[in-house]
Amino acid sequence: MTVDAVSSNSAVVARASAPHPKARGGRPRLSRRTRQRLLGLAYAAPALALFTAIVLVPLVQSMVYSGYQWDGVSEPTFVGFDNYVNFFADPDLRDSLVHVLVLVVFFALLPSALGLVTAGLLGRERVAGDGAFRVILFLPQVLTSIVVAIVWGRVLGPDGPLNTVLRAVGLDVLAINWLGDFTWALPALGLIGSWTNFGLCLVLFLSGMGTIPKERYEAARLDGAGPLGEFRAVTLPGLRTHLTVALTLTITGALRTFDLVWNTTRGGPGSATTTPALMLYRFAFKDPQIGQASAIGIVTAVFCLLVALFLSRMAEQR
Amino acid sequence: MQQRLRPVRTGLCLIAIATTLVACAPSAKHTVDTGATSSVVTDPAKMGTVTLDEVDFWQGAEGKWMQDTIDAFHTKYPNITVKRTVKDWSSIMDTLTLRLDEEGAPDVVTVNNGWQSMGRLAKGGLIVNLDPYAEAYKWRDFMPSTILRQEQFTTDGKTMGEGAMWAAPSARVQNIGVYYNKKLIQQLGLTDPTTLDEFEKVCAAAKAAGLTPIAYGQTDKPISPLFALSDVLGSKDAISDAVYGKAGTDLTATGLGLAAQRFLDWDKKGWVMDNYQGLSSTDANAKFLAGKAVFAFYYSGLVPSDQKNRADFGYLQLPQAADNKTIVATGAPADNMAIGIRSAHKDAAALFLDFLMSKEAAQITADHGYMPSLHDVTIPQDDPLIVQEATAAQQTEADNGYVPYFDWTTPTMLDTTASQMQLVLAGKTTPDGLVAAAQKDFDAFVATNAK
Repeated sequence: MTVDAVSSNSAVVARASAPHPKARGGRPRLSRRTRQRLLGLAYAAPALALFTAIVLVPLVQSMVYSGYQWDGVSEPTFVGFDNYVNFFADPDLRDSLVHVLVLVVFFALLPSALGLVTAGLLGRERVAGDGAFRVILFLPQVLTSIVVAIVWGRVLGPDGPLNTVLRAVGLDVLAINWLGDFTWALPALGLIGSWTNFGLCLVLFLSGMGTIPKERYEAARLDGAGPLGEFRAVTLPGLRTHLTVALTLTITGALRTFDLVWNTTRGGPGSATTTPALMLYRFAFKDPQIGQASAIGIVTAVFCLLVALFLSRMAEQR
Repeated sequence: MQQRLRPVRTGLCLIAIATTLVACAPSAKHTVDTGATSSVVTDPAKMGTVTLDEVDFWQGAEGKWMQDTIDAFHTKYPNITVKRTVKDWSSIMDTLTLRLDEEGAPDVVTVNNGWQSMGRLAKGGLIVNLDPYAEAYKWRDFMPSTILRQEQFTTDGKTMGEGAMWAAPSARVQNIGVYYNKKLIQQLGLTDPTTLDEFEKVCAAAKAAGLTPIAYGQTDKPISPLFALSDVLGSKDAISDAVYGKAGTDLTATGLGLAAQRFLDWDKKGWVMDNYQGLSSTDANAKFLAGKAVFAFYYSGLVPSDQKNRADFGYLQLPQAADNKTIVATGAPADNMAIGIRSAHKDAAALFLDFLMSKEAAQITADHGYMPSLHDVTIPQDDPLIVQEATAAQQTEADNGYVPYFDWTTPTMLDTTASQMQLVLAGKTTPDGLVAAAQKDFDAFVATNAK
């Protein structure tokens, strides 16, 4: 290719991309801000397209589906809001909502509270080997949920390590069928969630504490605050955003609980541990009522959104 | 802030509106195959060189049975190769509607009987109506009516057990029955039981001797004891009527309530494995195979053909309690294979199904130590367990005693009966409550189906 060819080529490119000087008068030139916005949109376009394809389209599809009674293959019947009404009217589905509220306590509130206390104790001073502690406590978060389910299924089994220990120390009364008992199965599942989420909360809070200026503690101490006062006056306000993140992640996680339950109790015994996500799976795949499954999905999503909104509002206040 | 967000917001709105327009209401993509238009080729030579994509769920020793059947088919028809894909049962069942509708969909797939799988796939036009092939290969001529019914749905999708044939049964049947440990019964100084009374005598003796009479685990919601006992205590016709959706069927006559009551009584006597509430069927079966319980209610094939202590085990198809003679058994082909609607090789696929139901295939089944069906074949006499299992299958066939799995009744019946059974054992409902719950499920389904 000759030099001429290259230069003429680049001239063409230049003309095509830059607005022609003469064009200025004819068409109103886009303002700088508009251009910047368009450029920004162009940069975001690939991500937006992907988001549209894998989030928005299915979301709208689910909304449309939720208005139908449909087995996924044959002709659907339009039923309006029946599937939503049914979600709150059907006793089995309503029970699953109650169960998930119990799980929120175990998956979100308990680990956050424990995480705060532990962070308050650990974060004040550097402990030898605290890196190792953090890794160990965070480990459950890294494990695949199926592994967690299988391991805990064994631990909580009738002849599992937990009951063996209980029997060894003479607490035979307490050695029950944790996952097979109508009363205890749900709390037992909940505790597995607490174990998984505790590490996440703790690590979040510890890193948050690192950002609180030391001077505030000194000031609090000068004002005569004890450890409890320090925690209340300095640590807790300093961790507000971290607490919001932790709660948002764990509460929405709890609302979506499926894998842990499916792989341990299948919603049993009876229907003592069903969750909306489990019912969704059942309606989507086992007893094909795609409309009902979609309605459950939409309601769960709305709940998650409300929780996130509420928590972020809380964090912004004050 | 407001100003700056406007274009973004407008953009998002446009996207949302556009997607709403694109994603129109759900619809049926296919219509049911009436079988009217198919032209059938049965001459293998005219099929050319073909590779069939097949999906099944058989693994371990049972996987070898299926592979050997497939290999024998290929040996017989070298121009047709079957490429096998093995997936676990529930991932096949959960994804069939999507899988059969996509590019490169399989030619031959395992389907389950009942509304939830076969009925839905037939109604949705995703599997081939086999009637033209059944005609050409004379399949209906040798098939027992009780087995044939399990493969039938009417083309309007409203009735099960009548109409077109949608899947081919494997020449291997699976009954729900009782496995027992001969060695343990000998130790008790008793003989192998043949009736429910004798079964209970062995249980009582086993309990007195400190053994676990019945292996059972329930976290995975099994239904085998409940269904097996209904067969013994209930009416065959009532069970069939219920499963095939005869409106107005009174489920009391199915024996479900009596079965639940009987199992509850056994539990109260301490005959059921300790801590069954926290065990899965897999756990319980492992204990049974390790010689830690005398009986197990399960699907035939529980004792693997390569099990070391296989000689210790026996199989009992309990006769009805009323006469201690007639056999009624929940049983079905171990596999039911259908042809995907998008298959480009439907004729070759049908030839494969024909082989699956052949005498050769039944012989392969027996040789692998499983219950053969559809044909009389040579049973390997050196394996007492398969002799017992095969005899049970023959007897069921002779008494025309096959009843379909009760959970095919409605798409939700499996969970209804299984959960109710857990509630009965926990004292949270009564056997009558179980029947009432099943009746409610049944009536609701029959009512919607009639629309």
